[in-house]
Amino acid sequence: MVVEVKMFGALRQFSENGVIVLELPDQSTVQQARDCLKDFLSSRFPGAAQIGLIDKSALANDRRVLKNEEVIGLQRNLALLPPVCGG
Amino acid sequence: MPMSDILHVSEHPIDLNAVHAALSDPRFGAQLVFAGIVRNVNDGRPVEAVSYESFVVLAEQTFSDLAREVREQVGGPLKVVLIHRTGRLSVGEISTIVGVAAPHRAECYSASRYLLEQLKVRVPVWKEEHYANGDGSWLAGTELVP
Repeated sequence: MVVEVKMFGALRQFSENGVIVLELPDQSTVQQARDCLKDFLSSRFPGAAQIGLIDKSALANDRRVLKNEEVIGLQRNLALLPPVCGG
Repeated sequence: MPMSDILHVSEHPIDLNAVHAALSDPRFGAQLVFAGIVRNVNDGRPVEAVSYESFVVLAEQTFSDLAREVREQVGGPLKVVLIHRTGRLSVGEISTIVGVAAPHRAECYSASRYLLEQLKVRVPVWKEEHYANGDGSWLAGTELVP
């Protein structure tokens, strides 16, 4: 399945137009999507320190932050959210 | 969401008159407005501006969640205004508004503090500081918890 992941903050620079398109196996979990993103970016930007932020980032849909063990299911649009610092 | 609440992320400057108007209510004797403002130094580095980015749809959903939570905590009538700016802001510009109004000050202070502290750790907003020497840096933050 194909999932589009919006990128934000310090991770946005690694995407084109703020989106990365992932090809994931059906029934992938959030953790698997995170691992896939990390592999994808590590291969294209070897040594980029900010890629380590992926481990500290949350995956979310439009309504909530997702748990690592959740199956992505039919969701095709996700967002990768680095640690937040509003205010 | 009660009609009186203002809960949004905006690229436009914040109108404080509109904030006070939204909070006004003849039943309420207390109104508290916190404004977060871009300051000119951080960790000893001169700051010229800050760029804010947000995942707007989830940020506004989280604002709505926070307003509901704080209303449950207060247990009485309460008006809430939560606004966060996006885009590049200069020193002195307002980045954030946390506004509350209630019959008495105690509810206002507790509600304001709760909303502000939760906003900082739960609302998907990121900021990049721009320094006087031309450098920029995304600030570290708090990991979001499901």
